[in-house]
Amino acid sequence: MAADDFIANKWTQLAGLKNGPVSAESYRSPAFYQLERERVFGRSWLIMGRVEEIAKPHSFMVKEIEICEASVLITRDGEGRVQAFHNVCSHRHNLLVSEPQGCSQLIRCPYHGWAYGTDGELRGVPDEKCFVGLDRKTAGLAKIATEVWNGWIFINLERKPSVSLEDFLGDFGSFLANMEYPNADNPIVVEAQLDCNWKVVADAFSESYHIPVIHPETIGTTFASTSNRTGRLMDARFFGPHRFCSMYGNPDYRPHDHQKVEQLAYSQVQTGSTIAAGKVGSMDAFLAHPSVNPTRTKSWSMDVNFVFPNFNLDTGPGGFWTHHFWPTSYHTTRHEVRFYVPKALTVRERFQQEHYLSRVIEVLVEDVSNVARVQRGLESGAKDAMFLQDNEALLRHSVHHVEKWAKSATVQEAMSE
Amino acid sequence: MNNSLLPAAFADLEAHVAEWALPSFDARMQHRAASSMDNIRRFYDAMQPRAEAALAHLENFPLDVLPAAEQRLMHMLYALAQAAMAVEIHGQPKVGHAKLPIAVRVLREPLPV
Ligand code: FES
Ligand SMILES: [Fe+2]
Repeated sequence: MAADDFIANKWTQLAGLKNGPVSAESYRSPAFYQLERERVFGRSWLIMGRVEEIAKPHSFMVKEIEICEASVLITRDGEGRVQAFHNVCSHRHNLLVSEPQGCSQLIRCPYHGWAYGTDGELRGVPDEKCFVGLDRKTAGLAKIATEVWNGWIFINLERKPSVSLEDFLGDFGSFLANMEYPNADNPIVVEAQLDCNWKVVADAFSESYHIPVIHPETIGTTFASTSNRTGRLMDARFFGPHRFCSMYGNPDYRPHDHQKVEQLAYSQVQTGSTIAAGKVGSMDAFLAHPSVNPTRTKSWSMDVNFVFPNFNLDTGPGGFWTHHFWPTSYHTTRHEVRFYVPKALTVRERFQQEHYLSRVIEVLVEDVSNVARVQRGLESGAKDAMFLQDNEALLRHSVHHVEKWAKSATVQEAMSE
Repeated sequence: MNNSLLPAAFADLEAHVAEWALPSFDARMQHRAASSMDNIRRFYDAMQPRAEAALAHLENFPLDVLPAAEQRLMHMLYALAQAAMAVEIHGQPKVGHAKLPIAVRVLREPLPV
């Protein structure tokens, strides 16, 4: 294909948006951040993780949603049901569980020893006779609305969610439904505390325009080639507040002669891609899903499935990986990444995974080392607006929907066409 | 009792153990990022020609219960993957615009570590 074959100039229109400058306010305004707290994160369904993280009965995990000052305890009870609770003791509101995960039938508060089952029921109160009129039935943990969808655990912090998960996902649910998730039980977990608004880092993982420039040596030549030098998108789709794009990959990429360690790492391990850890053969059902590489091109590097507001489900020839962009203030973010890899069975597979991880961490470092500079530029107030091109339509779509949710008094209004 | 740091056939690499056979991904990554290119090169030039032999040697052991000397050799191989980032990709110890220490932390590594 020649370079101009990739010019679409239709993604922005497909997103239902107009070209033209985009306001920078939502990236730097403390007042806007308060609206995001109440109206975006406080009312959206949020992906907290996968069911494989709490596979056994009575296992649990704690996740923080800093922007809402919520500590969330997600349990699997003895019957196998998955449910989220506020991680807050009913007695005097001490945070209940302090470890990131655990497994036990009783969860005991470290302050005065109240004990709860993994179903959230209050099971034990030391010196209960001195609590006059205490009714255990009304003193269990505070439930948070929870839904499990295709193995993803969603919660909604509204006491009574204004929208069902099904309606919230809308056509994006049909687009992603029944995807297989290879190696879902074996994530590599990565975290970075960043000095930028959460949308600055989310944006860095929603376009491939930056790849040849900021990643020239790590992945520049795997994502771009002479036929697509600037990372023009292969496909983009928009589903209410959610979005999708498919990125170009150079099918001719090979390690250079001098890259001896890279060659050795990949020499006896079939991964299906030069930067992947999945095993060829175990990926078939996943790769056959119609929404994985939907244009069915050979020149494919990866797809981004952006679940509003803050979650990326990325797919590539070697499997899937995820990003969470958790705001911790209007200009700081906790960025969590999970790469799902097969369990290494041989020394060579394990060495390949080490090389793979080393490389993807360098790519992440290239991305996240730049975000503080963007934030400083935004906060300098030098400019009122950003110029976005057609292949940055996902960013334009993100700002549009975050602003719409922040402006809307009701979720119905935020989700209206 | 055998006090060798590495399996006998790799005794020539022992001088690099203290510096590079670090037991966690973050430790190896931060060390490489903070090292000079000369230092990384010295390790790379010693380890890279022995990497195939090291893999072949380690294949004789169960992956998840390596003896101590073999475990160090495995960590040396992991460190070689780090050195390769500098030597084969960046041409410098770390991503040019990244600050030290590197902000990215690996909370759960590939297993076995
Ligand atoms: S606050 Fe939990 S037992 Fe008192
Ligand atoms: Fe990037």
